Amino acid sequence: MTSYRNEIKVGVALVVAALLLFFGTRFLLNLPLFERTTIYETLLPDAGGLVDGSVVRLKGVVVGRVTDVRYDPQSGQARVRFQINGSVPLPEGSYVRVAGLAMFGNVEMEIVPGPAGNPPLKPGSRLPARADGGLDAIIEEAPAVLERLNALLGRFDMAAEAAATQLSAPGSDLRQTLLALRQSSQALATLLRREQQHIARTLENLSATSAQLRDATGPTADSIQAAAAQLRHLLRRLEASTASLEQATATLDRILSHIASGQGTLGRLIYDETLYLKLDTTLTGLNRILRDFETNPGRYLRELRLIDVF
Amino acid sequence: MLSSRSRFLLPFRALGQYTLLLVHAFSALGEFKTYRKNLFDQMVRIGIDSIPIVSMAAAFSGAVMTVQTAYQLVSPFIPKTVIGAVVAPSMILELAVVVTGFILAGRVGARIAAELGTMRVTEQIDALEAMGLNSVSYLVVPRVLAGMVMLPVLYVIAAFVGIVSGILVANLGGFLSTGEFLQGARQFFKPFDPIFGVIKAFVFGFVITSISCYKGYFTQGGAEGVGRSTTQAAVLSCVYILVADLVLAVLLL
Amino acid sequence: MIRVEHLYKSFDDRPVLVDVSLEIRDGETLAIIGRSGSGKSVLMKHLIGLLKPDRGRVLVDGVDINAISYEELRRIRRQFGVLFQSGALFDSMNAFENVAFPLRTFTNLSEEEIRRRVQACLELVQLPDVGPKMPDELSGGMKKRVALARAIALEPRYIIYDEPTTGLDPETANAIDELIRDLNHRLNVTGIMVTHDMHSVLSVADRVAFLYQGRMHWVGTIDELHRSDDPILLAFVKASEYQIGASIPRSA
Ligand SMILES: Nc1ncnc2c1ncn2[C@@H]1O[C@H](COP(=O)(O)OP(=O)(O)OP(=O)(O)O)[C@@H](O)[C@H]1O
Ligand SMILES: [Mg+2]
Repeated sequence: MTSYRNEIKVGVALVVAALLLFFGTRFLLNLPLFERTTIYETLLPDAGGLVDGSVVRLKGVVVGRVTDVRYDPQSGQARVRFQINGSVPLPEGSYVRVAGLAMFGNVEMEIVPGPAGNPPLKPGSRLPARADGGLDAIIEEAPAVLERLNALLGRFDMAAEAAATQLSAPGSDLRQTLLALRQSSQALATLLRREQQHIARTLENLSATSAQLRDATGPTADSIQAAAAQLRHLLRRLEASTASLEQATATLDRILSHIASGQGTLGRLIYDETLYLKLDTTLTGLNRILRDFETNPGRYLRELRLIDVF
Repeated sequence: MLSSRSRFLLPFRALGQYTLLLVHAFSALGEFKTYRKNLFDQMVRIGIDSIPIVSMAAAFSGAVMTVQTAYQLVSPFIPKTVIGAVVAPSMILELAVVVTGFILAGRVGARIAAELGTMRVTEQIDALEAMGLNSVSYLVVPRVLAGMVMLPVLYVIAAFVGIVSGILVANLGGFLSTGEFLQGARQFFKPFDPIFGVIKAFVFGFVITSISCYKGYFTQGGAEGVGRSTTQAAVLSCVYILVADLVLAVLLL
Repeated sequence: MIRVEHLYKSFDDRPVLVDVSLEIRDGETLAIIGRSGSGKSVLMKHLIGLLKPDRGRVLVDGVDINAISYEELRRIRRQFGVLFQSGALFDSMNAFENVAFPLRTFTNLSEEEIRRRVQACLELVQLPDVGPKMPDELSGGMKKRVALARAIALEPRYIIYDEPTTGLDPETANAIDELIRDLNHRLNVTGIMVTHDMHSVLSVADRVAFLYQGRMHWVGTIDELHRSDDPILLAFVKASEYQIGASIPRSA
């Protein structure tokens, strides 16, 4: 008589639905299914299109989601809560900034981590926010990025040449890779040198008019914003390529110096898998940018030039 | 025959009667012992037994929606991920819960009205009352509660099945890969969406069961009256689901 | 004791009960007779508060059942067993569960005790084997008897029988009459029997109330009924006797 079949059926259905709801939501939010998450918050002068569910990135990697955006009457600012996957510690001194465009629905929050040695932030603590800076910041940032890329291309070229000349076997994979890399980097370097004048002029233009641009409203403001966002995107990609190039160069340098001091052989160089991987990603990254340039000559520059219009 | 004045007052009388029934049901919430067994009975009959039909309808809506979105978006300038970005949120926000609601309005709403209507015209409700039992607590409360608990469950299952079926069809039909679909689905996903869906399902569950209980409980006029109540329960449930859908969208979105 | 005082009830402006007053004394069996549609069932539903009077009062043991809270009304209703005219068996339950329902709902009896009690009640109505049958598998008369078994299961203080013998064969009808009498004598149940079966009335009732066109036309003991010269009452009684075969006692 007192068999609890109905109760059991209902209980199972409720549990299944709750699990589906919970894990389905986390799955669609790109959150880890089983890991714990940590909540942090920040105060922004302007939430600028951040919503519940907006992506949080750390060094370009999605590490969490915004969970709550509301006006905080005490501070008169927007209070944004976000959750970070448990396995990602944030050192003290980390701060956040908002990137992207509300117009394209791709507003994101970016965490700039503090110095690596600092103790991790406590869950629930409030991170300071820094303004993204808009056009001004890009104008400031752009020359430095371009310069660093330029310098790096030179340094890499030298290292790669040195390595290639030491590799006797002409058909070896590594030699091939290095040669291809050199070609790519040289082509990029040439391109940058050729366009440097133009880029500099564009940036100058930009900073001269940026004050007026900031006051622009309506569609004008939107397209400026769009251009700024694209610029920022371009810069990020260049930065990423620069970083991987830098790593590859450093590894190459280290191995070459080892060989020079008699600690290793070329054989080791050939079989160093980490180097291989690094070179490979570098090559892919550089080639993608180059291919962009070639198939769509000056696209990036045209993006920069977009701003000339105003 | 009713005078024109009392006909004019009829909707108000119905609303008042409906409200009083709900107040009565609410005040009977405490008599858990009276309706405990019925509650789980009804949860199985309203919820568990509806899982197959609701899943099937959801699977077809997800599949059809994917095919149609793919068919309408043939432009090379629109990324394929848009299909996922259209299907998943539509399923989560609207389709899963409305499809579930309509199916239950027909399946459960009509059954509740027929059951209670028959009990009314054959004096079974009077018999319950005559025993000293609270017939509202015994009949109405478990059905309404079961609807409010089980509709969200059905909705979650429907949304899940709908999206999975969309992904399957996207793959089988060669429209886009699982990865692309999910990328699109994630692009505009907000965690409030499924919560909104659950809230809607909860409200729909209340709307369907309370209207059907009202129609059944106050049935008049024998077998014919039961037929009338049954039809009205299904139709009114559907209408008020749509009304509630709009009201909730305005209030909560 | 139940007192009905100046009860008025109309449906959609059509009067059904007009100034009905009646007293039902503890321990007696009162028959309410009257033509079909005269308001017997309506009156009976007023006794347990299923219908609310337009005017007048219904007092159960001195308490006006329309002036108390729903909770108190339900407590009073638990002293009643009601056999509805249509039986009103719960059609989602089989006969056994129907009879067991009040026991399960209102007592803490063990399942075994309930089984024994249900079986005893079913035997009292001469249906020992119908337990597993669903209501729609039972004949009209069987339904009514299962419903009677359900009404007496809790051994209530008052039992209302709405046409307990209608639709039964004479032999079974006699057995039901016997049962009603027995309940009345053995358990001192106060019975209210709505009927047009004059045989039942004569063999079971202590007093008779005659409802005519919504009014309480005549109330008196069986003896007084035999001696009465009220033309309307006599016409009703005569018609009943004629109908069942010229005064031949059913038990003969
Ligand atoms: N709920 C109701 N709504 C409207 N009219 C009703 C209602 N209940 C009863 N009536 C009307 O009240 C009158 C008396 O009905 P009632 O059922 O009391 O008759 P009765 O004396 O029990 O007849 P019978 O011997 O046939 O059972 C009938 O005319 C009936 O139409
Ligand atoms: Mg009657």
